[in-house]
Amino acid sequence: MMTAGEPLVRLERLSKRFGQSLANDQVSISVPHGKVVAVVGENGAGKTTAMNLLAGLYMPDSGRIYVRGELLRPGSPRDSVRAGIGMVHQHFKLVDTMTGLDNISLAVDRGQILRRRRTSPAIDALMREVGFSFDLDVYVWQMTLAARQQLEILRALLSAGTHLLILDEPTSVLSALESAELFGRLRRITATGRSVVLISHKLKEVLEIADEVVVMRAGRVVHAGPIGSVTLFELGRLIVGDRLFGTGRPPPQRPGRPVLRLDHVRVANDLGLPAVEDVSLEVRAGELVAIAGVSGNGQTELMEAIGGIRELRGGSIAKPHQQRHRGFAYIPSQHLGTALAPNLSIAENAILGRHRSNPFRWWLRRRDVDSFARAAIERFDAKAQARQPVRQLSGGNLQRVILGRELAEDPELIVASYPTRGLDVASAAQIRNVLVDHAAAGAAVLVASEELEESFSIANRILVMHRGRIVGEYRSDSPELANIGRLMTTGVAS
Amino acid sequence: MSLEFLLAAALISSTPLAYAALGELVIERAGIVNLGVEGTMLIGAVAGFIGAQITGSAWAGVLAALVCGALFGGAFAMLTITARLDQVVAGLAFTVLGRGLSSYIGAGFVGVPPRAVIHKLNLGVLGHVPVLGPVIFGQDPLVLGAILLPVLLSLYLRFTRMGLVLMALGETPEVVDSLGIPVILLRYAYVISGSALMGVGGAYLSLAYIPSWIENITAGRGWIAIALVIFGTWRPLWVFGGAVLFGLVDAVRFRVQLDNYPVDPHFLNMLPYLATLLVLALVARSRAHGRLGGPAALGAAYDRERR
Repeated sequence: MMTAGEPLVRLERLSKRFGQSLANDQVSISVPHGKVVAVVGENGAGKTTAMNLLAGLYMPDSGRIYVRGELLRPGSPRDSVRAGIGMVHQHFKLVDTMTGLDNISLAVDRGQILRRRRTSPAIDALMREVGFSFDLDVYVWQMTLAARQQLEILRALLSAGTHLLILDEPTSVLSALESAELFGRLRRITATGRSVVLISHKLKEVLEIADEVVVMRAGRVVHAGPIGSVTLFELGRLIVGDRLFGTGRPPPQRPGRPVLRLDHVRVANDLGLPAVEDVSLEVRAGELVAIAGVSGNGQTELMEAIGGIRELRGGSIAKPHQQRHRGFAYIPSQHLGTALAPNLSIAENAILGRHRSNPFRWWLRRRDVDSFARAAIERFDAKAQARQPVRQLSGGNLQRVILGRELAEDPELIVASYPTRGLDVASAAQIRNVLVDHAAAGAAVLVASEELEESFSIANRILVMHRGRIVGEYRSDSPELANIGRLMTTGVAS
Repeated sequence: MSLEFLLAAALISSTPLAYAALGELVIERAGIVNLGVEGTMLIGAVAGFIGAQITGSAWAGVLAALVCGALFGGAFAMLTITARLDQVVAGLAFTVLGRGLSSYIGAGFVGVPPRAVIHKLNLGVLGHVPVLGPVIFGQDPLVLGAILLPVLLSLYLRFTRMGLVLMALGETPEVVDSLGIPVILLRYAYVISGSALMGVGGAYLSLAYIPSWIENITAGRGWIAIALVIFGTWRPLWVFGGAVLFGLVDAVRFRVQLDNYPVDPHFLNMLPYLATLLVLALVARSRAHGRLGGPAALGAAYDRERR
């Protein structure tokens, strides 16, 4: 049944839990007919999870979804597709080894016996209507990212009666020009009466294209309304939240000699697109520097380049070395896989990278390994047994084990990429204190953080990163929040 | 021995291989690697023989082999698709299980003369066509089926939408799932039907090729079938071609043994594996360029909510 004013899609108090974390907490979102609704928020705020629930890819723990007033069967991609919901994922859902036409055939020719050999007038008409121009007979792996995205959108629109198109971070793979083209096409799509949900954390483009905005933070919807009702600055505040800025103490600053120096560093991301462009910075002994910014603006790639696991496209990095080995502590954002081998025991993980120095050398005596591991575990009170496989540990204890290993020899430089991400409050506080203590004791510390609160409580200096560049530098004793919020989201200070 | 006879013998030798390899091909195209081919063939062989003994009809035996192969495959599917066990380990276990189970079931039938076997066709005038007559039309229906099957499979993969879905299943099951096509159901269907084909391949041994029941009647043909799938780079016609090639080697080997030829038959036995290694090396090289390799998602269980 359809009542007047019933929105196209209505999510009602959806909750979804993944293990320990509540990805969606009572999320309610309405999508009206013919509008562009932007869902914004930090990474991990639950935007994509909510949309995956709508697309039927995840089964909600509780809550309901209505499409045109009718209850949608949850957890069924088939039912969602039938209800007219098409989603373009951030990581494209295309079969790379097939042509564009094959991919379309997969999605739209349900019930057909023969495979599609040529385009239909309907496809040609839609391509003209929306303004797409790419060759459907080319294999997907040979297409540009922009063409793949167009193919995804085309495919979603062609699926019988798609009325809602969900785009997850569509501009993350596009150039500025391609983004502008995309927005033009979205306008044409809504002009046909279809609705669009745009997941994004680029606020500027959201203001440009969206009719309504939904802000999510930590799994909850914290704001929903027409786009005109909020300013860019308010949006920034809503996304970051009215968090109390902590009372932690940065290390007392006695600037020493520079330990880490980056000169005009350029780095590419996994797709080969520029992620870090022309970053120069310096970290001195006894100083804690934080890199702040909305996730996905190049911080991870920058930290990986410093850690030595990502190649430089240009520029240079001067950092402490010791005979071909890393001469500093590197704490990557990915614990399992990069910092730790999940199936090895804690004792084995604790000596990784140290296994060639004394007392190990050629022969790993169990006694030495165990005592080294115990020391690494006890240094930060990790709750674990030396023989336990590392994958059984919680996030906090994983991080304690990594710190126990990396900080064993009092390194002069510590590089930590999101060291408190996903940790509970107590663990996060302990790890911040460890970093501050080492800085106070004379180490140079560089931390990437997605929490401004954290950056302010522990850093001497805060560098704001936006679109791969350092766009601002602040001392933590002069918090100009309004400016930082705007810088993080737009790259432009007032 | 004439060339015609040699070719006819090659086709007969290749028939059990062709059924098993094409069955494995279907399963691997769906993204599952089933190393239990040898076991499944043995189950088919013993079921076929016993079915024929009980009913007195060789075709009832083939049907029994089909059904038992399918059941065996169904069990494999439950373990690897639903319970998401490691496919390689489960496959090896099924090889051993199939061998043990078939020996146990068939213990009372070893050396028993068959009540019914599959007979060669008499197609009248077609049988007198030079070369094609004795080589193809004079064969039994299962041989003809083995020739027809790769053609049908090839058409299925190339021209039908379901074939397209099958290829996508093995490449990117998450894409198939996001389009609302049931990944789990289809993978079950392909594992079961592929295993049924393996069962028929086994039954051909006990009902036509040998024909009787002996323990471990397949003698490693299941492994050759797996090698053939790679050798044929997951394409039905190539896989069939590989099966015929090996059938030819088999026929020649037989002749060599008879004639006291100066080539060691063990050397010829080794050839298919050597050829497979060569193809694997070539596939690994060309994989970077896109087209020749196996299905990308081969061997990985599909779990929608993994993150």
